[in-house]
Amino acid sequence: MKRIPEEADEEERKPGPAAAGRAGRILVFLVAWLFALGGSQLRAATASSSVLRALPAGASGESGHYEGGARLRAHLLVDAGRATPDLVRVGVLFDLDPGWHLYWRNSGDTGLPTRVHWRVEGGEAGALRWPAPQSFSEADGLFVTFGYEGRVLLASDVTLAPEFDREHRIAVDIDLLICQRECIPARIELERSLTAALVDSPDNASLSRIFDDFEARVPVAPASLGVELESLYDRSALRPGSTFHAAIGARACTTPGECVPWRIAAEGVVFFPAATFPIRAEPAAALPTRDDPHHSLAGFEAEVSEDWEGADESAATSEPRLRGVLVLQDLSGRRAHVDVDLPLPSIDASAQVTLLGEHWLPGVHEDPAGGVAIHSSPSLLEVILLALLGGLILNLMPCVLPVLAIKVFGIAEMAGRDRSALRRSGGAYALGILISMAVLAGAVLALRAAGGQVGWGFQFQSPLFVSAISIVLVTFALNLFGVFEISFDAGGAARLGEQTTGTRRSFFEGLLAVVLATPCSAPFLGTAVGFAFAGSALTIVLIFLCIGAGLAAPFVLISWVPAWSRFVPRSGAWMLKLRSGLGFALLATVVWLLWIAGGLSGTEGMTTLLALLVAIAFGLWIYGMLQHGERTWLRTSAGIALVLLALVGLDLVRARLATATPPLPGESAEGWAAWSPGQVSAALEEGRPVLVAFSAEWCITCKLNETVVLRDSRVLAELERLNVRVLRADWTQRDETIRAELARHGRAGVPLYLVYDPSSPERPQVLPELLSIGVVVDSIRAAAPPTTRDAAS
Amino acid sequence: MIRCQSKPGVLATIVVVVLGCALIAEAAVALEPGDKAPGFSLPSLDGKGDVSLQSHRGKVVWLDFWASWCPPCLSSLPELEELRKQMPAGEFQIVAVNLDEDKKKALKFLARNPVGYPSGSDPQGALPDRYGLETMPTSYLIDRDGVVRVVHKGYRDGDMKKIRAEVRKWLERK
Repeated sequence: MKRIPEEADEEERKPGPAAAGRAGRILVFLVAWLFALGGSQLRAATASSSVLRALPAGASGESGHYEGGARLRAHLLVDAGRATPDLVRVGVLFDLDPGWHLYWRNSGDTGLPTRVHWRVEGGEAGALRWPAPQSFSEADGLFVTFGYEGRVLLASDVTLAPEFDREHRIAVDIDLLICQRECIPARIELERSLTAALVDSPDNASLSRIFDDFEARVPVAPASLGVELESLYDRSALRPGSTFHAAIGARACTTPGECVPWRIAAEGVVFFPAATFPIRAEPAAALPTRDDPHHSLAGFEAEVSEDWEGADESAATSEPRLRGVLVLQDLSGRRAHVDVDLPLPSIDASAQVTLLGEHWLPGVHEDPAGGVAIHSSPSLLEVILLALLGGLILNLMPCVLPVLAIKVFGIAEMAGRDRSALRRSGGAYALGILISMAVLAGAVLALRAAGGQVGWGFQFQSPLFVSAISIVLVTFALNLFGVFEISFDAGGAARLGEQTTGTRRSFFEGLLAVVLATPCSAPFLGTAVGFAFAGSALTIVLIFLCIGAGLAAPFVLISWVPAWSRFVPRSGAWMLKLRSGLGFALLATVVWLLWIAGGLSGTEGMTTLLALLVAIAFGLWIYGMLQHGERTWLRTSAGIALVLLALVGLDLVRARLATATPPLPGESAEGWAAWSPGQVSAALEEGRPVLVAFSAEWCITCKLNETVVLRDSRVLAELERLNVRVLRADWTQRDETIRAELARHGRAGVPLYLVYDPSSPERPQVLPELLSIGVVVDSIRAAAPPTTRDAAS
Repeated sequence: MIRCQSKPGVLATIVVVVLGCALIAEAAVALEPGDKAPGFSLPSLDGKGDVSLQSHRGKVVWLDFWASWCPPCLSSLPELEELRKQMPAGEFQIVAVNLDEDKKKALKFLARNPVGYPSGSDPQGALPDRYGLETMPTSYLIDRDGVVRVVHKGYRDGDMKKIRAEVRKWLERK
């Protein structure tokens, strides 16, 4: 960074008549000289006027700690050494006492932006040129602000109107805030004659040099340095009030074989965002990239303003842009500043932006190959495919197996009978799935609109939902046992045989499949759901429907494609036995739900729910006996009584669950402590690798991973040998900290497994949703310090 | 409204104007120890009722001017909250005056750093004029009779120790 020549510096710093006497000689035109402070109008710096006054040095109260003195001098400079007669450079030179600073056009976390407004008689002022700012850590490191200290010149070009026949005058109104351990907001008004300045000093080298020196600090277009910038985001749409991750990439080879030595600076604040609306970006940090010395990256986290309605802060364009200044550095450490003007995701995903791959994190996750993997994916299309595939695989996960079994049974029963009925059944099943997926997406959107933050499987965090779904499953199981028959229309008892496989029943099975599927996650599903939850309303609905389509696909194919029917077993007497057997599968699911209820609200809550289930089973048994009788009124009354019992019972359970005390999360038998960011950093500081398991009691995939992989003796032995700290983030009940941490890693639900290496704590490794012993062992070995690792081999 | 302007080349005029401005400004109210603290009633920052100085007469009051754009103000807030907790509630009161034009910014900070004392909102900056405020933050220790005893300007590490000692001293004077 070039400095103003010391000579000029020295002269201008001297206050009072001595400097005033030299002012003519050094040809620095001084209109307002001191600015000891603008004190008395401590309103926001947009106040229309201000009283400038000097504060007596050493003024203090009885316990005063104020040292007083002038802190800022502002000079209105006119550079007469112009290239064309109609163009003049004008600028305000601010000269601050040591320790004081003023703010950039974006002041950062706090402070006030400096505002400069030119008024020219007989001319027009162009845009203000801001030299690259520096960052300040304020209030004991609580805030990062952007601004200038020492001397800074904010300059503009003025185009003079040649036909203007009177004296050209220039005035400038400046609203600013200067801070040190105290802050002084003020308005400065400076004015002078341009005509006189041009006549008095037609050409002055030292003055021109001041302008040149500061203009050399003004950021330039990246292309002028041979650099190409790109922006990458973890989502395609920004939702007001949300946070997101982004990165700015700089490519130093714009044409193959022709590279420049510029990279994003490795240290300090490397990106200065030009505004805090619509997004407020946290300070960016340089990220390592994989094997490409000509591609550098800076990652940051940002918050979208709650009151953003989608427009850009500048009226010039309807699409929001990411603007600011990026700090580059060459191999010798020399720094340069470039303007950033890149696409930003819009509110409705209409803007074209490049997405970060799953494996990227702002300091999030390092690719095993040693570097941050940057993909231009997943695109919406890829996510749709992932959602379809994830939905399809969901059919094989334990959550959906009971429903799947019932469905197979239903189709087997129908096979070879009525082809059109089979098709209707498949269609109804798909419709049931799609409608319930749409309802689920709607519920997510409604909760989000109400300010709630939810994730995949969130409904299992509600004891009431768990109770309701238990009742549905017990009812269904008793139906399979033949205790009663489900009848959806009043006169339907006569067609009982058909109803076991009827269209309405298939629809209902579709609903049940979705409800039971959500606590399971399948491979590919985490990425798709994470993408959906971070996106717009339309994205959420679309992705949910795609998952539903994947889930429904096998049965639709079986019922619609004749060739697929051969996969279906032939019907026979075995089916009646199977039917009862499947009832037990559903009851086993109820046991799991009771376990969740116990986890959410303790033994009391669980027992209350169990008692209600027994009462309902008893009621259904009675209903079953009356179902085939002659007295319709009795049957109807029994039905109504049952529904009432379920509703009243649910209300009782709700009241009971609300008062019941959930068990305290404590250290589990395996020595897994409860997760908190502090626990992670404490273990990492001790040099221990950390494995964090984000899971929930209702998450079957998590339970599967824990039982089969994490509690495997080989894994446990390796965890102990490598001294790995294992932490469990339990999302059984709603927890905003855990939800936010999941979102930080691009996820909307559990499971999520992270392995932290103490030597690069910023970039944990993300393990797949379905763990394998090999993957876990390899990842913790990679994260362990070399000494421990060597001992292993 | 006073404007400091000058003509080019007339340096003497500049000096006179500037000194004139300074003198005039100095003649304006700048509250000092021994002065009576001007009473006020401002709408509360959170929109619930009013915040007034005179309603705390009989207590030792720490009057603090702050804004979300002022970093040292923000670093003093949590420490003032600590001070409040350490002092007897019946005898000591912190009254804050927030000068943010955009109240949302102040409320956002308070949401993250809650304090148990009231903040009045003065977005037009009328009260700083009456108190002759020169810098931010500025705080005043006002005794039980409503007289300013200490004027504290700025805020840095270690200031709270001095503030606590002053508050204790004035609490002891019944």
